[in-house]
Amino acid sequence: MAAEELITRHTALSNNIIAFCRFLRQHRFFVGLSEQTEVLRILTILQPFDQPEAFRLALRAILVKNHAQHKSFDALYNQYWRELDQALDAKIKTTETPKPRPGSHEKAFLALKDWLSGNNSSKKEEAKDSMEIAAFNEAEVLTQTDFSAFSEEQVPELLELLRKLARKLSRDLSRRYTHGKQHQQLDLRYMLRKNLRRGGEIVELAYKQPQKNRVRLVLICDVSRSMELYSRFLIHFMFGLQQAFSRMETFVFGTRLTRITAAMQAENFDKALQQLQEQVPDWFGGTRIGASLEQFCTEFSHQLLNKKTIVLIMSDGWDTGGIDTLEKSMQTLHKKSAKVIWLNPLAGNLNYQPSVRAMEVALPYVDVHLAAHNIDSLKALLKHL
Amino acid sequence: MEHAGLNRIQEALQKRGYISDAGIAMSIFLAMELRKPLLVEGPPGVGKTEIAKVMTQILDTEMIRLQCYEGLDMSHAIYEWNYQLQLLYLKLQEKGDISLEEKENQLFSDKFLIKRPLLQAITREQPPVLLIDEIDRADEAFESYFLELLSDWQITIPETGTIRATQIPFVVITSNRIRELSEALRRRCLYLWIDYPDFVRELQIVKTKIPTIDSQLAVQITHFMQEVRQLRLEKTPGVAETLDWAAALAALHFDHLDEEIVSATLGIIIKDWQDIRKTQLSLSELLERVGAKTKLEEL
Repeated sequence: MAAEELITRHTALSNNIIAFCRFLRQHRFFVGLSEQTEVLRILTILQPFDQPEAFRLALRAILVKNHAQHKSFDALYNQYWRELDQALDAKIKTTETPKPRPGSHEKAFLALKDWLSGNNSSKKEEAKDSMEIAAFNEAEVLTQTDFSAFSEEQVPELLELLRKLARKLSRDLSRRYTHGKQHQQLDLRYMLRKNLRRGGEIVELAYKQPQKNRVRLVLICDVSRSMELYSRFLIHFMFGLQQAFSRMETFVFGTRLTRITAAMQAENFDKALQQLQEQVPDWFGGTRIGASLEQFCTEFSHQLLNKKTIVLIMSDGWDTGGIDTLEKSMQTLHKKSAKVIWLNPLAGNLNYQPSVRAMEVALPYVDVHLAAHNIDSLKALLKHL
Repeated sequence: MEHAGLNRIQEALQKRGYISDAGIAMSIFLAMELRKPLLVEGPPGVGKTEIAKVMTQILDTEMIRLQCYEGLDMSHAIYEWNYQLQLLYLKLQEKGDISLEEKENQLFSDKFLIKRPLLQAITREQPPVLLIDEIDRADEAFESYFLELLSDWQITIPETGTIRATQIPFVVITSNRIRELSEALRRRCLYLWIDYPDFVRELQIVKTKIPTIDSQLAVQITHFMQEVRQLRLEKTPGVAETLDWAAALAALHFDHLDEEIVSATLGIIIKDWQDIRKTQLSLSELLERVGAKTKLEEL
């Protein structure tokens, strides 16, 4: 991945452009042969040597394909061509390239770690206290209170939101039409074709009706130690959603996966809690995201996943398990489902960057990565379902 | 940047009062030069649709617009038969002695075909600009159909056969990022991201579009809008809102902003009641910062 390997001496511009494309490809740009050809073609139209600015803009317009790339392009461009200049000036290859990420990542990581390790039970009480003070200051604070301080007062609001979610999901009818037997709306097109064989006399009628649109949901929830801070919220979330929406399966994992759909369907919250305690062996222990997701893929994916299933993963991405298995499982999930949505209670923290190794591996296969640290942030989920 | 084609585009942009940066002009230029669809993304109200209009003007052609919505289907995007007319025709022909085959040929001829935007776009004499507006609102099924059209430039109608494009249109696709678009579609397009303009550009836009405005007021409004966008509102106001507001305040002959004026007219720029409350709460702070920045400008 080292950039310096690629930035060798090419004097001909077209060679450089091809090398630059290769360089971009290593930074997750999808630059194919057609893009390369287009860039080379554009060179004949614009004279890049007189107009470095136009050259950069032209490359950007052709090679960038989404907003994330748009944001990172200029930095990569500068890095590549500057180092190329250096290499040419010095007539030698630069051996050490400054890594684009200095200690800042490290710092954020440590801060996060502190924040997490500090969440033993005594601190949790503190968090609760501070939340309660905050809650009486202003009404809207409630929707912005971090879920680590989730209290009973917030339950009705959470349930309201989950009901909204469920309502949106269970909108059974699509706005597309299909042939149907309900005598409500005539399907003129089909009717005409059908009756043509009778010389155009309309004898048989044909009808159309809205297509069925059955979205299903799979919720996979992390209940390992690092998520303990959010435990109260998690359980209410799982229970509330399962109660509001029936075409849904719920799983929890720490070191291994447990299916808890039945428990979550219990008639009241206390019974659900009791069943949970009996069924789940590894509350707030270690995390093995990779292995747990793999277990899901091998045991449940073929029966539960299809292109109308949305997979919700609720986890902070702190993992001690294998990275390879995680990547493979995420790939499967992404391929087999309609959408993978990763809800991350930590993503709302300002210090947070997805620098957790597991998160880095998983993110390319996640369609939507959302913060889930307070009710306001959960509202964003509505938009993505 | 000196290039005849590029210059023409920049001129056309200016003439329409569209204050752009070099990146936008370059993207339009390349889209026309390479004959590739241009995918324009960005927050609402930054002038994505305007790109297509500018292109139409430069090429001196017509614009065909397809507004996408949930449930958009073939009969609204591509073609539909005029059933009423077909039925009428059949009734009229009842007494006639035309053969069935002839009847069918007649029935499915151009006369009864209602061309929707996509079919229109590929059957024109002169290549038009085809604007696919807010494609993220249509579903994936439409997106993949559209992708097929982009690669083959032909449309198959079961009753009559395949219609090949007489001319390949210039395509502009806009998206508000409600839904992620597929990789395949992205790869087929040139990508352009338009963000909210910075202070200098936005001020220029205000002054160009509303020439009667007091220049101090324009500066204050622009600063205020730039500050409001930092607020993390539910719906961040775009340039369109800035212009509405500036026009309203200019019409009322104000020459500066104060708390009273802003809170009385806040509804012009912010359209969500929670956002309005949030802005009102931090109004004095916002205005303070606007004041400070305006002073700095004067120095």
